[in-house]
Amino acid sequence: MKRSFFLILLLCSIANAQRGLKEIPSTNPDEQMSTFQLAEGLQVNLFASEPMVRKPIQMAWDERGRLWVASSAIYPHIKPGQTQSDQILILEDTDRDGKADKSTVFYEGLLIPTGIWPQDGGVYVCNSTELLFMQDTNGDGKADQSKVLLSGFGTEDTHHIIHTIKGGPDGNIYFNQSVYIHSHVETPFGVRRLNGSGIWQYQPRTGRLEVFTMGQINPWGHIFDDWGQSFTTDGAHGDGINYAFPGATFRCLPNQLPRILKGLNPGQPKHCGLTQITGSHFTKEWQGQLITCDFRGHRVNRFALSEDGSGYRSQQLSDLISSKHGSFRPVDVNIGPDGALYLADWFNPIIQHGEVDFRDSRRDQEHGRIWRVSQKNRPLSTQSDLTKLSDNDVLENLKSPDQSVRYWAKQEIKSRKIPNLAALLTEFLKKNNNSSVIIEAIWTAQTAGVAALPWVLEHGWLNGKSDRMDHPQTRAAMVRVVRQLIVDGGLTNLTNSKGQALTQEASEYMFQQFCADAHPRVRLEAVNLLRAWGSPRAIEIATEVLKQPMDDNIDFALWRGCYELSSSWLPALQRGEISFADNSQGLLFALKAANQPDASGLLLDIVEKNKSNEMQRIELLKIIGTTVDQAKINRVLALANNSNTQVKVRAAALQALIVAEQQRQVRPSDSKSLMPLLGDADVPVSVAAIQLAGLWKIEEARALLEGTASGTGAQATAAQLSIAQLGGDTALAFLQKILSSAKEPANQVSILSALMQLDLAKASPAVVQFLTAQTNASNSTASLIDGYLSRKDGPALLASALQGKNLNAEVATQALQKTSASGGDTKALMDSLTKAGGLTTISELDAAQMAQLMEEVKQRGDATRGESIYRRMELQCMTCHAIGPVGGQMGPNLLSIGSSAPVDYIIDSLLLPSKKIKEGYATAMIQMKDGASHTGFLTREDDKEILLTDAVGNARTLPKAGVSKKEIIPVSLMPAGLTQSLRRDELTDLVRFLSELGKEGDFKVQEDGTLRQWWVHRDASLKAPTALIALVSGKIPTSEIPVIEWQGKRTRVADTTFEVINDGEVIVEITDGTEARWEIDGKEVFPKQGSMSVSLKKGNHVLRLSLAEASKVNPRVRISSSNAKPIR
Amino acid sequence: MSNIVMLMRMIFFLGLATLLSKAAPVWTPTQDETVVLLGDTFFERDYRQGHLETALTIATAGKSIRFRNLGWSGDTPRCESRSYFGPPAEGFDRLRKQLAEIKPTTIIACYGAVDAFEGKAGLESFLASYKTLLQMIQSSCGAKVILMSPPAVSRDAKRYPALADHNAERERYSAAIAQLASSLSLGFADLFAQMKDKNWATINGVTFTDQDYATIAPLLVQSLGLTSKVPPQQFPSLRETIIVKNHLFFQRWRPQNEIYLFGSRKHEQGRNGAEIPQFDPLIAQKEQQIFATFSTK
Repeated sequence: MKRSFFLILLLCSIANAQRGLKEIPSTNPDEQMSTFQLAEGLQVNLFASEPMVRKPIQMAWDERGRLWVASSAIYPHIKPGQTQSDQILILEDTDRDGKADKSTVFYEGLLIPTGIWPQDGGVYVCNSTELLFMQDTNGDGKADQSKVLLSGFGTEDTHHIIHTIKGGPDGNIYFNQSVYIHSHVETPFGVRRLNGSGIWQYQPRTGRLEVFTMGQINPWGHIFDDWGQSFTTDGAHGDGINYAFPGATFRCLPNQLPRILKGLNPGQPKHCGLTQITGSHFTKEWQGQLITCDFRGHRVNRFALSEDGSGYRSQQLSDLISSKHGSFRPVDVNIGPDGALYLADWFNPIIQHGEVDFRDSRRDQEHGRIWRVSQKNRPLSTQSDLTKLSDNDVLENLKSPDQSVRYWAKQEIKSRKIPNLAALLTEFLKKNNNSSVIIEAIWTAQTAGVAALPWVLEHGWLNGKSDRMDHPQTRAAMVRVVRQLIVDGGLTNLTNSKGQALTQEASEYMFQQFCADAHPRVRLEAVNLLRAWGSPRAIEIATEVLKQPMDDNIDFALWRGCYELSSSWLPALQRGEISFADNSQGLLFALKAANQPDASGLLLDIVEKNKSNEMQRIELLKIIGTTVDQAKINRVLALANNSNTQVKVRAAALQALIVAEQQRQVRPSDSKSLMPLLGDADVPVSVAAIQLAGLWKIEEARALLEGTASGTGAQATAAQLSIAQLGGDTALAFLQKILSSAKEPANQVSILSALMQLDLAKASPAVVQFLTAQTNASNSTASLIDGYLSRKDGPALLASALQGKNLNAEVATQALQKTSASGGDTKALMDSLTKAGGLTTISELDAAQMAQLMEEVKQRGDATRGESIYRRMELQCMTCHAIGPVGGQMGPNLLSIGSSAPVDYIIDSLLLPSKKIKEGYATAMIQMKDGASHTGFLTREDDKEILLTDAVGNARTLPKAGVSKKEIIPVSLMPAGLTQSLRRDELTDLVRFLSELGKEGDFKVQEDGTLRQWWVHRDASLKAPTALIALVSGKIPTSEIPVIEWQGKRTRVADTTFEVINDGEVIVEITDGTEARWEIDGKEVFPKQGSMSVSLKKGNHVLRLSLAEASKVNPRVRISSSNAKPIR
Repeated sequence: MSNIVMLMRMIFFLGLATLLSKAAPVWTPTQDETVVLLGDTFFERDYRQGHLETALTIATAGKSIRFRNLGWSGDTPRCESRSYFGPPAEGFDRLRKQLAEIKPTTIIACYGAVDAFEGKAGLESFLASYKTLLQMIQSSCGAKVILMSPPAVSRDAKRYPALADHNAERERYSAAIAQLASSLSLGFADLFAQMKDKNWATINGVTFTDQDYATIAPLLVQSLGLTSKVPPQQFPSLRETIIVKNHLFFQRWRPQNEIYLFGSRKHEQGRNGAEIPQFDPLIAQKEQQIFATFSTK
């Protein structure tokens, strides 16, 4: 049967279509509650539901223990003429029985309010383009005053508009915006713009608005821990928990900086909301756990945090709640005044609006729930009325285990405007001197706006030698407070005890102490502080942290400072105002990070003088290539020509010249001095020189190039291309001559590529002749097809050259896949490829056919068989997609596709990938001025260059100067037709598998330390293993491990690596492992089944599995101690 | 009081004002004009306050003038706030297209508040970009343009120390805008001069409260050389209707979910873009209600 099931599908007659999507889950709260599976020791009850509350988005408790809810029935989009009627609600549990008994509409008349924070005698509301402040001044429970505090926030996507607003322990208010949003806000300090996602920091007292962090696709959760450190979640990018220090920058579309940070749990589902369990209600083992909502998977996840250098490690624990109820959509979570956990349930079978129509009738606009989760047999927390307490008694509340009590105590003190608050706090600290109270007192002063430097230092730092100060979290938090003083008023805001500004020397000495701190988190805060100061001297001091161990966070923070501030510190370095003294490591770091064309001269000085450090010279030459200008480029060529230069450095110098020519058309004036290098004994040197001869069009080199081009190998390939670049009829005649005598296919392809470069139309007959002679798809056919697709006129030329020709079906399919992913108008080419390859075409399913297929998926689809189809090499699913923490990174992670996307969406995505494109996966098409065109993901864009990533993950940098046109085209990089080779039953199984992913059951990824990334050996040398990813269940697919002759037996051998964080015990748990032999670092370990404890040193370790050929078991291994983690 | 009495009284005052005024008015409104308010936060906020537009409506009563508020927070003559995913040039093109659609006859442009934070160093680039914007307006719709100086900021230096010297910058920019207007023979409305000696409550030193807007409204009318002696209180529902009309217009020209309706995810939800022009008849309906305020029954 030829790949024609789609034709059969079209012919199917469908009588009775039952759309599975019409099954709307029960709206009865009791029925919904009965589906909840809770972690041990917990109980759940309904706090409120409609009509008291509907469609809750964010909720927050006020100082009186009332729950404020932002609610929207208009979401996702207002209809023409529809009144703006969204509400702010207040729910109260007046009799404290755990159920709301009073609901008040505080305000009606909003447009999709996505954030709410009651404070300062009113409530802050995120309302579309505005941040509002609303008050009830006459005490009737309803807002009677409303003002716009800030405006100009973007609304490009209503699930991205400003959200997740909350007060920080430092007295600032924080709120977030998601990835499509572009905001422009006028403040008394000038306009503030944020294009793309990030967290805003706002101080109502002064009106100051600053960007706190950047990136994350949908940063829908944000909390502060007890030490003021921020953690976030993301509703569209699966990195689980993120550690968000000031200036941290995560993934965006496109990225806002050339370098970004990653989250702590790669491969996690998408999360909304975040809270941390603190307070007296939950028992000790629950304390500090992070709780966030997997709204797609109808569950609430838990994570445990632990210290890791300047940052943290996050490990997933078992779910807090899971449910099979299709409308259970937890979107916000917090701790109530009674210490219990509250969950806002958006209650909707449909989430968001990318995938499903704005006006889809299945959208629920009526219901909404607040659930309350408490621990059985535990006393509840209490909250006192702070307004009735004396100043000193309010301060006593700073010692409360409940974070919200401490928060409202600080706010209460602020509202009292106490004269000489610092003295009062000093008295208080004399009696209460543990580190957590100290930092609470410092934050109290900061919240009230009276945190003067000498007082902060006296309590937070100068007594650092005493026991109570020996606490890095306090020091880190204190450095953050000093940073805020600089943000608010520059160095002049740093005063001595007489209220005078510190001398610059004194400030710098203090910063140096911060940078030299024993704890990496304090050093991270110090680097962030210095970036906020921003002077050239700040960079010089900040690079002193390189003298101590670095980690990803500190390295990023330092890089960002050196990168962003290079227009100020680099000229200062050139003028001799800063020198980095003996810190050559610091100088190198800063120079590498610098983003200035002026850097090349300095870098060249170092490369020319510092002859001993080969690696450093090569690294610097890479930067030189991207920045060197006309005045200095001769020095690069001289370096390559100098026989005293190390040979690898000479090759690197030539590579720098190639980059300079390609990106900016900068070339040396004495280009002919390249000639001797064409025949250099070193292959990389001569290949690069040959390339340059073509790029620089050195006519004198033609004879020499022709000699080389007639041979084979890397030099010949380069020479053929260079001849094409020299151009002219001579080049055409020469290339055609050597093509006629070329025997090896590889040699033919390289000559054909050169011919295509020279004259695509004239090369076409020869190329098509080669293609039609091929009997299978290969890298050769791929590169020739790419040669056409990368040219604007290419698709049309290939289409006409294929007229009347026959292609092998596999070659035609490969070409079709490449063409469909390339964008632009390629219909003619698609048609001729389909015809030449004798392929059937795909048709879109009509409603009845779709219904029929969905019914088959439901009735007969087998997810286990579907998984084995998913894993087939030729379908390439795993090349681009991950399910959970491991797998390809090009396409969206499919971890929870089944629980988030309807079945028809999945089918459409498989058959016609371009019909549904996940946010951030649209294709950019860049036309260059030289006629070339490139497609791929737009990974990053700035003034100078565009970074594109293609369908196989290769990144390409395109100079902005060479771009003639940039468009975002609605084409998926997922090739169409991948599923064309499947039988109907196979497609049914595949869809069933995908539709189970993320749902409760066997196809939900457990992120519990399971070792998923394996390396299987293909020969007895054990030197060239290839990757093997475990099944979704975590089991190893034994049949996919090749059998090799090893130690005299027919055996399957696979390795996996894990990292031990500190010297000590590691618990490894093995399931179905009795038939295997297990080794760690070459030593056999026991038991083969169940739990084993191994004592290991800090660092990476290899676990090896070997299984006799006859064994059919599928073992599973996980690491259950927090002292180790899998390596991916 | 009946509408007709009000109208007569207004005509009387208007006539008197014309007789008394020495200089020619900056703006002489004509029948059935479409007027665009173009600028930054100062104009944008009025879409929901309505004080400025109500005062302008009363000052031009009987002429059936349609106002279109295209103020956008943080905007500059480079149209920096008007681009979504591209460079400012994209915002510039967006405005060009919108003006070609709206076809205004008069544009009151109020820029300078954002650029003034760049001080003297930013002035040259501000003026150059303003000229480019004016050329674009000329080519896209040919409307008559009136340049308005930016509003003054709070004089409360204790509360807003960052603004202590800022009114001097606004004055510098106002003078430069006046010169630009004169060199291009455009009308110049000196709002800054009207505001600079007064104390403003403000929200944050640079943006204004509802009460501020009510006080600014007659000053703005005056800066245009118009007179509006009839207090807006005499048309109790007029401002309300204007605010409703402005909300409808806001959803029309700056709809939410832009990326799905018209942007890169149009392939998913673009069909819903068809709803957006459905705001037009609703806007027109409210406008008829506004015009009817001044017609006899």
